[in-house]
Amino acid sequence: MLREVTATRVAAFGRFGRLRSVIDQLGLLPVLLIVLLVFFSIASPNFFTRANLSTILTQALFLIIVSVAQTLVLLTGGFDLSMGSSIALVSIIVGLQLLDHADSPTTGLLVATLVAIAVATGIGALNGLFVSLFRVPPFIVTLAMMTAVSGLALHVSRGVPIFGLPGYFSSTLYTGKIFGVPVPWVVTALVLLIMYVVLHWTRFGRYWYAIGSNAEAARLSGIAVRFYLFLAYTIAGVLVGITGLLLTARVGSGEPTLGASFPLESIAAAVLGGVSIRGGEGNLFGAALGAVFLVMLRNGMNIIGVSSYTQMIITGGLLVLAVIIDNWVHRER
Amino acid sequence: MEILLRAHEITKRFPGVLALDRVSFELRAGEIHALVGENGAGKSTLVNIFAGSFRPDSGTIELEGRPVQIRSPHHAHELGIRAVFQQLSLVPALTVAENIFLGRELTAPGLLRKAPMAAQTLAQLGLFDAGVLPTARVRDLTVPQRYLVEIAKATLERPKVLILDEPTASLTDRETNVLFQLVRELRTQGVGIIWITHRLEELYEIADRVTVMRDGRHVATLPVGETSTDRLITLMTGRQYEQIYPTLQPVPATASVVLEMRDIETAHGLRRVSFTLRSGEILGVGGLIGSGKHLLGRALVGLEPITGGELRLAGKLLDTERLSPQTMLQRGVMFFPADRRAEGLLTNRSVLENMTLAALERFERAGVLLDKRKERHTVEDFIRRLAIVPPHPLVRVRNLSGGNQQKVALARGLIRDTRIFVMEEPTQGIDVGAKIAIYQLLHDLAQQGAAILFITSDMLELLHVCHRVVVMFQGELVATIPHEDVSEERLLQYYFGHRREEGGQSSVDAA
Ligand SMILES: Nc1ncnc2c1ncn2[C@@H]1O[C@H](COP(=O)(O)OP(=O)(O)OP(=O)(O)O)[C@@H](O)[C@H]1O
Ligand SMILES: [Mg+2]
Repeated sequence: MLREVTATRVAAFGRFGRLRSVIDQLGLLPVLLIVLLVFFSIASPNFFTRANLSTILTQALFLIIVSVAQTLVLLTGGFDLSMGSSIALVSIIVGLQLLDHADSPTTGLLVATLVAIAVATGIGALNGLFVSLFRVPPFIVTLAMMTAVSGLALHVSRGVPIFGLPGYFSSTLYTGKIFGVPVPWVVTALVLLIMYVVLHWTRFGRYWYAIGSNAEAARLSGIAVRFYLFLAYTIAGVLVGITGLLLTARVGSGEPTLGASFPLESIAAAVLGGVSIRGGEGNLFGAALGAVFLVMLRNGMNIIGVSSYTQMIITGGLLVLAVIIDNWVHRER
Repeated sequence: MEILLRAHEITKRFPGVLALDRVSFELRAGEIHALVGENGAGKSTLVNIFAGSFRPDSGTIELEGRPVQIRSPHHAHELGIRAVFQQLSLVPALTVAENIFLGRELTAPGLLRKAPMAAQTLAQLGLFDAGVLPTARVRDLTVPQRYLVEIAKATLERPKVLILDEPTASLTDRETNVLFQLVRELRTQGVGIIWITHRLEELYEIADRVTVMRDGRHVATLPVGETSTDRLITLMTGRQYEQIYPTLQPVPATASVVLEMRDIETAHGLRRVSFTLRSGEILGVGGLIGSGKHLLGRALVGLEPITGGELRLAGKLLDTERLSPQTMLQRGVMFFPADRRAEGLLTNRSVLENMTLAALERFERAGVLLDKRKERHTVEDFIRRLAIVPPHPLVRVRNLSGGNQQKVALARGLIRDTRIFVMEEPTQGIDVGAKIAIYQLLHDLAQQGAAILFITSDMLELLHVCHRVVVMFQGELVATIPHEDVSEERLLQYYFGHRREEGGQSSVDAA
């Protein structure tokens, strides 16, 4: 049966049908990932080592969660540029809270977690409110939010990092382990699992796909479009809060500019992974793979000594390329 | 007569689907050549090749005796081939006039000459009578009105070959007749016209020859005079049908009124419209384009703001200012829009996701997770009942033929537990066999107590499928006719504005 589906899908693609259809289903990504692996392994003996590969994956975790959040919003036909500054604000506020609870690990961790999620969820909800209720385009809403929240983070921290966080914070949330698995890994796995179930086994997921595919049809099918839009941005906020918390634990200080590259990178990761920039298409595993790809690319470029400016150029170019491929694969005939 | 366009052994293969299998076809100059066949037979694919949207895998095309490779829609235009498809290609934000001249703004001198001509064409098509001005924005037009604009646009350049893919699907008799005239005029000028339709009865009026396709193959080409509807159906389906319309079961006298409109008015259009709909009843709504028959359905679900009057559901008064498709759905009223692609379908999602979208609660286990097996069974059941091809739940709707897309949209409303169906042109673009299945389905639903508001431009459906028919004229409901009294002449009278007579008035009261 699967073959049958593939066949009819191929049929939709006209010239270069097979190629486009394969890309449509798997994404270009697995291929690119292998190319990248081979290339860097040849270019440098330090790349394909156990230690380095594990570093890549650990670094990728944060981008994976953000990309999943971004995917959620992309599916509904929007996107969120404010995720990075949201992470920065979370980091600052978590830092300040931890300083207040330096001597009581349990309270400290609890407060930090709650505050992190509350702040980012609030920002997500605000985005959702403007997008759904007031119908402001996501680009404007989240760009404005990015600027405002970033300003807030700098204001609260007076532009300097918050140092001297209690040691229990990082040792629990970054190097701490649950059944022998580091906490960030466990969290990422849980996020992927839960979001997978929500997207593919509940009506919420169906509705999000439907809204991104054709909002008017969704409305006429009785779906509360605005509510579900709001919900998507809010849940994305929750995930961003979690990332902010983990990332702060990793760097060990409250950073007012943490995560600035996440909005663009997460969009690039998702689109590379087959999530359509026009909504209604793609899935979170593709996005996660896209995140791994980007981190691996950065890591490899560092190892072979590409300057960080050149890296920025390459990442930007890649995003444009990803969108072009997305257009090509998903264009209506 | 001279052969204008000749296609020889055209094959178009989409791996897995052989859409065209060595199809040959010829079109003479000054001929109206009908193309018929079941949904998915390959009609649109064939004309898409003529129009330059698809490239054939093999086979040759000759235009006026010279071999041509039609490379793109633009190239087709240059060759003098014009097409109007099932999916309309107008720009909603532009006005009627702007759309018609889109892409031709540069030819300023020509434009001056053409403006009155366009106006004349549109007037001929009855567009202005329907209250549409050249300055109206296309997004404010109803689907059939848009179609007329599109036809006007295509005919403006006096093409050599004009392709009309189901032009009459949403037109009523008057507009159809006007279109007939227009097309006949083009025929006398030597234009070759390909006319795709599922309304077989119109062939005898308009077509010279008819080509039947089945499963991507050419079955027969005959002069229209030498065939009959029955024979065509047999050629198309390989089967014979005893009866197209199911026997109407009377609505029980005790059936309760489920919906009542009293003196409903809307901002643009409806004027003091009153009617009732009873459980178990199929109520047909007829009228010309612009008569308000489509507004009626849209007003009912809150898509047209209601400015006055009362709306009752099962006796309960509704707040007409707060109607929305969503709240009406919760009350068991489902709306089927006519513009399936814009308002109905998720074209990049699967048949399955499209069908169950409005009824996901039904498939939830313990109110959370979806029971995908049950969902799939239901969907497969509908795929079978409506004969959707290819019969697979996971195919994307975008890859289905027009009629099959229509069936998917219809199934969505049928899967949801619905008491009142408000249907705009439910059988538009659907082939005979599937139509029969749908009529039967509607009757079964009515038998089970559902009420159906059946808004259609197909007069035969009003005559045969509905318990009662109401006719709209210029925003007013001018007649209510019980099934026994419906006749074509009668309907036409009301379509053109005769006020209610004895029969009409008394049956309003009786209802
Ligand atoms: N882009 C596509 N991708 C895959 N399959 C396609 C595509 N377009 C058409 N088909 C398939 O080709 C076959 C012929 O479709 P076509 O649209 O020509 O039918 P049709 O005769 O116009 O039907 P209808 O009366 O429903 O409009 C169908 O089985 C359809 O599913
Ligand atoms: Mg078709």
